Amino acid sequence: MKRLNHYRWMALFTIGMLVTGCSTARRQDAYDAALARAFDDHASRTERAPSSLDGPEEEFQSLRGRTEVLVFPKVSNQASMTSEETIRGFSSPIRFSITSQRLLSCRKLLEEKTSKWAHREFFGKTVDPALDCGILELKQTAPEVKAGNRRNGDSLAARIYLDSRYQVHGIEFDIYRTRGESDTTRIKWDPQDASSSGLTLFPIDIPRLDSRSGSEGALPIPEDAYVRAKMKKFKAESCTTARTYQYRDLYGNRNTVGWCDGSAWPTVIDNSRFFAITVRK
Amino acid sequence: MKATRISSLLLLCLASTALSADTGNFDIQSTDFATLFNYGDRAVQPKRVPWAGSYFAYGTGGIADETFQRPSSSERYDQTFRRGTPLATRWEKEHHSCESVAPELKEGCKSWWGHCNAWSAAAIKEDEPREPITSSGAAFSVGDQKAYLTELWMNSDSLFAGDTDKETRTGSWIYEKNSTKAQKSLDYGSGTAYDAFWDVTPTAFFHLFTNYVGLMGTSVVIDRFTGDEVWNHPVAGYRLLPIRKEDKLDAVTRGSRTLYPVRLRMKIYWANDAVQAGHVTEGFDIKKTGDDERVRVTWPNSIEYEGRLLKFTLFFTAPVETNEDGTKVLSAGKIVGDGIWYHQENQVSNADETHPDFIWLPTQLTSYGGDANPYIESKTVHGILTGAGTSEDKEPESVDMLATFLPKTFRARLPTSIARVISLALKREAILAEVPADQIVKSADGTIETSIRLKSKKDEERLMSVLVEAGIPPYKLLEKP
Repeated sequence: MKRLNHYRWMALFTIGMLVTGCSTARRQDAYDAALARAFDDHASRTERAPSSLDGPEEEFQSLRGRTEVLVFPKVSNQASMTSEETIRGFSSPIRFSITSQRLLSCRKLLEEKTSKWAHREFFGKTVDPALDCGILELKQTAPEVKAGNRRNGDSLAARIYLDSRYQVHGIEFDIYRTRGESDTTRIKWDPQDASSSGLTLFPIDIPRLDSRSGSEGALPIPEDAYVRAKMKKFKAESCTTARTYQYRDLYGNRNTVGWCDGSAWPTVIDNSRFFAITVRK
Repeated sequence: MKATRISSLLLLCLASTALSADTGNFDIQSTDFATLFNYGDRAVQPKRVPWAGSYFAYGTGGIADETFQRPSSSERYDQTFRRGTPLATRWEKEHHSCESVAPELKEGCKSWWGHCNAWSAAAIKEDEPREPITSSGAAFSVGDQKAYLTELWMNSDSLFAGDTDKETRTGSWIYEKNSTKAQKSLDYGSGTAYDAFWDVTPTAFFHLFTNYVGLMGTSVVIDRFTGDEVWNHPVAGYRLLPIRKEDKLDAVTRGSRTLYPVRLRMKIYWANDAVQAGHVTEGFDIKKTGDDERVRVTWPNSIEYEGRLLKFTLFFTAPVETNEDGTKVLSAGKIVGDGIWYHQENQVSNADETHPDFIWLPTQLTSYGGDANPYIESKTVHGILTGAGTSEDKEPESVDMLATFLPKTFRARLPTSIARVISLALKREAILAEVPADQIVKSADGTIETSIRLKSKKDEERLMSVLVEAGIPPYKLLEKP
């Protein structure tokens, strides 16, 4: 971090004061561009067709039980003091489990009066009762994080509340604070507005619903020998053809997703941060 | 050379992030504006406010700095856990000082290179050491403990938002979208220098702060220098100022759609690294800030925390209705588009001190991907902090291996690159080793011979299989005589 001596601080402060008073030249062009983007965004949202996913919706029930995902974080050589070459690679995989806590018709789930789940709060006003509903819990299973190695803000588990159209209605995070304490944050989602699944703290995601109109193609799997060896070892899912598609998140980041026919969870997710693939149960 | 310099500085401060810098990995949990605006009565801080600390400047030798105490923190560590063998100190002086950097980088190194990223992460993830501790027969000052924690967090996984371009000094081009400088492609990822400068967008910024610092109560790290330097700081809180009548700009209709622009004002605060290593933080309370536009922190002092006022406009699909004094949002449409920074539509001369260039959240310590001192170990450090002592009293039994690779394995790669590839493969399998680039020899027939010093002899058996699995099979692998 840059150090500033007293005089430079004073200089900056003075400049800051000057700047405060010298904002000039309104950039109408920049404002117009931002406004145009907002209108485009508005149009794309309102014109977005409701979900019409036949494939995965039919497979939703197969999320019952436990699904495993193997995640390879991507490593880049950003500590380099020189720019002669950039090396990218994958670090050792992290395994996550996705376990269904509840999976039944939304109508029946809404009738359940247990306070263990936030199903009424999340699904109550936004779900189509004719659909199926699921509460899925995500946890890191390997490498195991010992209790003593937990740090403030670590996610212990997440539970997503989604319907069989893969629209997320709410999410709960169990977050470690300190000295063995944790708390749960519950966040209601607008399923029509969800830009992603909300699984930020887990490198697992389910794609944007409106993006699920991908094309047929091979699974996007890296040509990395290490990744391929581990995939074989852990019996990663594979298929000859998959539905693949790309989407950009709110920040403009590109995600590539491959979804094997018959799978209830995206088979492959690839972005600049990680490569994830589901593992055969 | 300048491009390299700036790039290197950026990379140095991002050394902890085991991912590419062009990404944004945050998800948005809630997009309901009324919920987000009203949360915590608009003045919110993380459940655990990050502590102020030192960035352990490379100019003074990182954690081997002897100017604030003798022995230095790394030396005390070596004395206690390495039987006096100066492994940690030697490494720190070689890698986290300005001695070994190229002459043209020295000036920048001495003025601001350091552990800012690692301190930011440690200040969020770790409890602040507040008292001296005796462990394994040695007394560790608060400064020592902070030094070790900071060093550990040089390696971490993180979530990241915002493209960044640290190669281009801020200038008038930021207001000239079609200029050559503005349209320069980034070295990584997609987009241009212009895009990289103007993100993080106001929409993303608002959502990240309100969702993470707000709803989830977790601090994030910002690069508060919008331009070509990196100043990482952990966020201590934010306050959204009331929405005044004049902030509700005229609605705009195009075809059947109408948008409602609203100008927002948000004060953000961060912990500082301008204190001594052994400083114990007095604290921060966002509730003591006011709804005026002043940001100076006057309690308990202005050294530990500082802030900035940011103004931006968001576009809504329906009017934002507030109570009379604008302190509470009653209803609002959805936020659409990226929004626009006030200083993006109103040209300023010092744009470097405006919106965060990028935002990231440290998630967990790793053994790879960063630039942490490999002789400062998590188990030992946390043993010190809990007073549990450590089992690392014995100096590890190291072993030198000699690996020979065929030319096709490392086609046209420099020794430094080869060393990094091998190091990465070993690190991801938690094998601690050194691969000195100056001991990589290319023979006339193209074979490459390299030394690998394993820190523990027990890893010897795994070495071959790890390299094979990594796709870099050695032709021969022998223990050095």
